[in-house]
Amino acid sequence: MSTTTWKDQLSDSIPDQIKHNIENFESQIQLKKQNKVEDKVFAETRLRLGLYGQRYDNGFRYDGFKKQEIAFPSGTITKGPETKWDAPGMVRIKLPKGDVTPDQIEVITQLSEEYSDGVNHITTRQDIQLHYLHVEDTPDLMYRLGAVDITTQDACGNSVRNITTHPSSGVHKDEVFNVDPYADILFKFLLGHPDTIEFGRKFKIALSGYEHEACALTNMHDMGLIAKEEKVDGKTIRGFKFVIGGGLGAVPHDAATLYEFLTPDKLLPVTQAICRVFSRLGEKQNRALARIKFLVAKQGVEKFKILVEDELKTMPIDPRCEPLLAELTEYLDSPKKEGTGLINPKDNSDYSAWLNNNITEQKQDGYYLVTISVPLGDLSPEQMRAIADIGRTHSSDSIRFSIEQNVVLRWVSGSDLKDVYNALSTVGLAAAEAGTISDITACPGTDTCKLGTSSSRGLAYALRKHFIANPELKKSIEFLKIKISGCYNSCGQHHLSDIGFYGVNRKKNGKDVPHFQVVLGGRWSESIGSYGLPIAAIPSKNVPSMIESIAQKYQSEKSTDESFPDFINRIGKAKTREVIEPFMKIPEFEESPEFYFDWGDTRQYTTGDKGVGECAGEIVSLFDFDLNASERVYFEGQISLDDDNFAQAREKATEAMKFAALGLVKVQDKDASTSMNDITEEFKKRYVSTNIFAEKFAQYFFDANNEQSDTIETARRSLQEAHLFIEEVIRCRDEAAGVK
Amino acid sequence: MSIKKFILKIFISENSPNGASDFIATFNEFIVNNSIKDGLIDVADYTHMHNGLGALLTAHESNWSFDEQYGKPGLMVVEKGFSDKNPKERFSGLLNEIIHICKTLEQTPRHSGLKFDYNTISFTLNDRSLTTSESDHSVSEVKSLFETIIKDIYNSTNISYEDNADPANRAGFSASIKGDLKS
Repeated sequence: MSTTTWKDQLSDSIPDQIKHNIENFESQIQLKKQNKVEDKVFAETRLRLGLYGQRYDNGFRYDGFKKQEIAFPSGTITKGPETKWDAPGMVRIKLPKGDVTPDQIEVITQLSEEYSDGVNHITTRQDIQLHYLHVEDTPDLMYRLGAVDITTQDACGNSVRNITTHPSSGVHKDEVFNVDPYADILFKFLLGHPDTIEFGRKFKIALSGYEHEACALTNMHDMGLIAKEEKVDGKTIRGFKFVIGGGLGAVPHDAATLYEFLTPDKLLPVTQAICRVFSRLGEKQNRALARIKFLVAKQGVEKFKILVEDELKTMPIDPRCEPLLAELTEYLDSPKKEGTGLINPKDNSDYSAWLNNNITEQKQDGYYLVTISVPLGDLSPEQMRAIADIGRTHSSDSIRFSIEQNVVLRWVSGSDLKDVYNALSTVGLAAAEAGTISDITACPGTDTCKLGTSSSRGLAYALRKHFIANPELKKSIEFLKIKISGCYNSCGQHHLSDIGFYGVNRKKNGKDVPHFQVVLGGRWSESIGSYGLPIAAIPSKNVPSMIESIAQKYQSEKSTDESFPDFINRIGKAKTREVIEPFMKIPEFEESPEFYFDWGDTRQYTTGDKGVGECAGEIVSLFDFDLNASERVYFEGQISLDDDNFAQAREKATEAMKFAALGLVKVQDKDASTSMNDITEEFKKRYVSTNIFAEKFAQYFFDANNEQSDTIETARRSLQEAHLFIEEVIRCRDEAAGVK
Repeated sequence: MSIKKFILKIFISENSPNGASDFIATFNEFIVNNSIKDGLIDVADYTHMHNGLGALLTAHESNWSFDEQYGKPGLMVVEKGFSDKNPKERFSGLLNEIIHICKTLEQTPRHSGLKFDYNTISFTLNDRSLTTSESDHSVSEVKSLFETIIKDIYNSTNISYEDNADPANRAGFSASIKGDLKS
């Protein structure tokens, strides 16, 4: 085993804020193993660091006949409600805009090899997920990511999730302007922002460079920004159409327009004001109604706007707004070589097909976007390294993961395309499938997600194989899109595609049968012009045949150039259902037992493995976070005492009391200053002068800096006093909250 | 021996009828029947990946896969470093275990025709926290240990090594053993 830790090796390369968060989490892990942290606090902390549980982490797995217990060695220790400590989990690596450099790809690949199963999974929000990790490996993973400027913070939980833009930002022919720099400052501004700590649910942001194509799908996000220009006094100025309250989930909501035109100088304050309104008024008890879309719908967008405007007038100005805006540059990644036109042999070769399908011209002459179609969004280490190598040699250093779970290379010169194709071919990534019917989006589903009902990935793979085996079928519907979710929660974005599916269950004679609800006619263009219609649920094993049938009907009855969504809309739900009805029938088990097994699974199907999802995070108050910090620092003080570092033990005792006092002050004023002097004054004014807090214990805090000597006695006494102080803080808070 | 995380792989000489797909069912049976070893958790299907992980069987202390990476299919075990046993015991145990599981697979009707090449064993250090000299030292230690263990498993102690067999540049070797497994 190495004599130096990753933290030691990389300390100088990791930004202080990131390092500090990881150190805190390391302490939390130790505390949790001693059962000194509440389950829900630890769960929300790890979720906010991108660490989700996976299926079977409650310690049970259905084996096809019965529930089998998984013997994790950690016994009763948990990392969240009903989540075993040793159960493998998942990390979501947050990549704003899906943007990575070749060096970052190398680090992520190394992490997948050492801590995960080697598979790098691209998500529908441009992140990378690694599965089957142990929670105790994650601090090292985070240090190593931090050293290459990547964080997992706020990747999950009730936080601002990854900010997405289209991979063509900055190089698209029709964009109004490059929105990437605005995504960058939003990311920096919102990461760990205090006004996002008390969200009742996640918050997703997307930016589009243009309105009338499926760019970043802003209409289906909690907050969306669409680039716009307006003439003011004869000058063209940039701004955004600002939309709010969109979302998929079980029932899609279109975003409403909050501002027709918002100038960049207002972007950060308005976003902050929205966060504060959401924190204050968003639903917290009923998780199913906690997204901001419900708040906007309940208030109405005009009243919501008034709330935001009022908040803008009264909220403290965040001093980071101006410097961040000043940071805005016209930065654009750059090519490695001079651009030249491409030469398409226009024959029947695979290369020609790839050029026709996977290549898009950039607005910069001689340069092309290359879309690499990645089956099920999974990349092996060899494939990741090949992409990084191609990036170093043939494209810019800004490699993008897309929401369609593909990879996009930018700035590839026409003269390099053949070399790129050859390099991709050697690692099986040169299929001419980008944007075709075979380029299927699927969420992890029952493979790893606790909420999965049917196997979205299994179905996706089965359909890919079906199209390979039936080239005529594939050709007839080549440019339709398929998206699959494992349940109704839309992580696979099934509402947005021509043909969508989400997992459901049906029973036949008491036996469970995996099904998918068929959703047809989603309009991907017009930045989601409309959502698909749910038609009927059919057995999972009938999906390929159903697609054949609907394809046949479409081909034989469509008008010239009629799109699939228009066709479905025209023939209507009743007629569409007639096509699907024959596929709804469930055969008897004895006749066709394969219907009772899901795609890719050799166990008889059950929904018994579904668990409690963590997507909704845990509701943890600001006070709980501060108290948690206080207890963590107190624990660190005890470690310092054990190490005979008496000065540090006393410092930690004081710091622990500071966090606890701050938590109590914030119960009355959430915008309280975090300086020691201000905390002391406010604490005294609000709690000690009013006789709410016992003066005896308060004095420990006020006198903490009076002690001059650092001995084992003074250190021990400081920690004991800190402990009593914290207990009194908890008592006061409980009394204020009516907790007995 | 200081290593905690490492990889062993035994390559195939003849493949199973349906390649990695066959292993999904077999690995599920291992879990259901609690056979081959304790602490098995789940099976993941990666057969859609080009030269990928194939079929994965996860356990607390190690991950097993019918792995097809770099176009060299075989049974691979990734030791995660959570075992309570000391690294020597762990390495020795895992080496015996991987051979045992290969034998079990060869005898499973579903894998009729499957044959492993027991004369080549690949070892990779899967811990980049080690310095170069720590890695080199660890690899030397593993080789010494290997030579001690081999005589209990094979009819020969004639071993040659080819170093740095890993495409991801982790320290390791490919050991060629002349001789048969002891029955």
